[in-house]
Amino acid sequence: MTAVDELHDPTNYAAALREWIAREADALAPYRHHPPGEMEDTYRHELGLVALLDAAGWSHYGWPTEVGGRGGSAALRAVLYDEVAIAGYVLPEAYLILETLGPMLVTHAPAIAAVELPRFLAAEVSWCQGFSEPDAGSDLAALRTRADELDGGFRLSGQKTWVSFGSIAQRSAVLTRTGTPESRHRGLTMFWVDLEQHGIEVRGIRAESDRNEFAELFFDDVFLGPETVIGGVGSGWAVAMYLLQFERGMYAWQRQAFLHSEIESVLRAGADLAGHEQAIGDAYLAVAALRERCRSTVRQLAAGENPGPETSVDKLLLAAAEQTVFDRLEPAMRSRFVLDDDDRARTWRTAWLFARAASIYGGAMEVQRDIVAEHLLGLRIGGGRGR
Amino acid sequence: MDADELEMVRASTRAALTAGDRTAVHDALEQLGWTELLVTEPRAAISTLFEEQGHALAISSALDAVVCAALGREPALDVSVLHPSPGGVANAAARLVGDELVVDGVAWGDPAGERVLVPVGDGVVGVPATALEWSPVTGIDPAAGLRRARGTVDGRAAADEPTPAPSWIPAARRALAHELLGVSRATMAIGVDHVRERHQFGQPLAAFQAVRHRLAHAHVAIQAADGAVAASWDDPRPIASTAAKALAGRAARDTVAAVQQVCGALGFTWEHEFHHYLRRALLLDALYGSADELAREIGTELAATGTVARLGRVVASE
Repeated sequence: MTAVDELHDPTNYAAALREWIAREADALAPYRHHPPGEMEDTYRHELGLVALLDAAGWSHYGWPTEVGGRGGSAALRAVLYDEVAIAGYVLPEAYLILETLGPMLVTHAPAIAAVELPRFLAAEVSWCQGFSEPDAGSDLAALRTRADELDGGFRLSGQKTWVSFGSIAQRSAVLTRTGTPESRHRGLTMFWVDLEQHGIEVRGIRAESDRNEFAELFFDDVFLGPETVIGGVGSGWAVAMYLLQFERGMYAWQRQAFLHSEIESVLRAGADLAGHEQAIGDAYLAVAALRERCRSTVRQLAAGENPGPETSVDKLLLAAAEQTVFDRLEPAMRSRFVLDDDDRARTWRTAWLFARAASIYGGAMEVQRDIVAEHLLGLRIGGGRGR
Repeated sequence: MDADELEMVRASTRAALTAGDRTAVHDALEQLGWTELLVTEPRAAISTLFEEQGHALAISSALDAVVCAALGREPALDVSVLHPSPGGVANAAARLVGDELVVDGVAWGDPAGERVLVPVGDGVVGVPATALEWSPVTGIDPAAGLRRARGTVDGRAAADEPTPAPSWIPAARRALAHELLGVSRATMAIGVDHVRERHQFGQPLAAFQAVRHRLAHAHVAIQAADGAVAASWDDPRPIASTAAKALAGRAARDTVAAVQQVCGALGFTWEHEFHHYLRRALLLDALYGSADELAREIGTELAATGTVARLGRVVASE
């Protein structure tokens, strides 16, 4: 293998990675297709690929050496996700949650990151993100899960919901209220919670895809030590906003890699594509638009910049791309989509259904449009919904 | 070229574009050395000029110069290039029928020289302007000053085998995508100003979520086009420019539709400036392939190859 610092150059990294992928075709073969069925089974299957990329060191690039990575720009991570998908492999869903929580841990809780990140990359542990509550979805600042300070730590009680990968995770970032009930976004604190301790119950939620796409987390007087605070007491909102940039940028970048592959798989599914040219072009344009937008966001994030509300554009383009691809290509897949029950038909149906959530999760499309109107177009005039 | 230099180019280009009539504009552009810049710093020259041109609804022969440069000729503002007529033969201002060249194209203003350049395939044919029949285009955007040329001339000088993806088409599409971005941004500014100032039901229109969301949606389309246009400079494949033009055309159409709606009856009047932007957006979308035509072109190519191009690299070589 080439020297580590040479691989810090994205071009060298991509070339060496491509070479490795080609050489390891036999070992990687099980990861060319998404097994259908329960989310937990799919996720665990994909962890095999996570472990291979860890053992060969590829997934360590782009993470700082202080937290067990091999250093280099975060853009290297974007290259990894892109190349895995381009080579025809299914990008493990674990990397979605990694990119959502990993950068937050590195920046706001490096001590936690130094322990947890290497374990995640090695597929030894899974994470989830406890943000939404029954009465706080897109209106996140309305959350009520409490972490009350007591001697030597905090006592956590409350309920989180719509937690992606909640049914398999051992760790969760949990956004809690440490201030007064009326303190909105000012009285919030983020914690790193070990889900395997006493007082925590996890229940899967059956989604319309007939899979546990998310879960509920119940906290009943769970003790949290002071070392579990991410970014300081009262700074939960700032930490969450930092996280959302990556969720909207790096997460969306992974989805564009996946969506390009989805278009490709429809083109190669053997269907008669005559008459579907415009639909294919529309699907492609929506994904190309997402890719180019995220490319610039990923570059900004890699340079340590904070694009902030600009990432709402990425989120809206993500929702548009997910739904345009599946809506526009569904006619070309019509009989399989409606009638068939083979593996390919089932995974495609699951993906179609999951795309419905893209305009809801991570802040609904309507909230993103409010952010665009207020922060990017300067339409800050009162009378609308307050936030 | 760094950001400050680029801003200087942009400012001087903007001034040149508003120097007066087409001749005055060309003189001003020559004076600031735009055609030299087109050769040495094509991205800076094209992105600034076309965006400013769209923004100001100005006209020039810059597209002719861009096509000249893509054809490997020395770019100049006093040559006339014949561009494909919208709705005509796809991507061509002329087609070979036997030994004859059947011409149907549009050019900006009067043909400046005695000859007009007609791109055919990957080459170019010089056609005497007098051999063609010229008529002013009033059409959807009379202010664009287009003239249409039709006729049949000796085609033996033209290339026998037109190549499917001649280099001048991506170059023209990319330049027009920049111009569409300029039109879209200027149109958006009209809409944003209007909804801030206009009051109904006791509050500014901007206070209504339906109004805000309509403009936000168009803004996202403009940002998407902006990213694709930038990527088309990093990725030499023709599909990059095709996607850029398609997304820019779609953004322009989304934007004019949104701004038309939020400007209400005022925006529908002849007196209001809006319709000039609407007209330019429709014209520019139609040139070198509309958004829908280009989506079909891309879809046809993808269906034929079974391969989906990922545009641009993660880290650009800027």
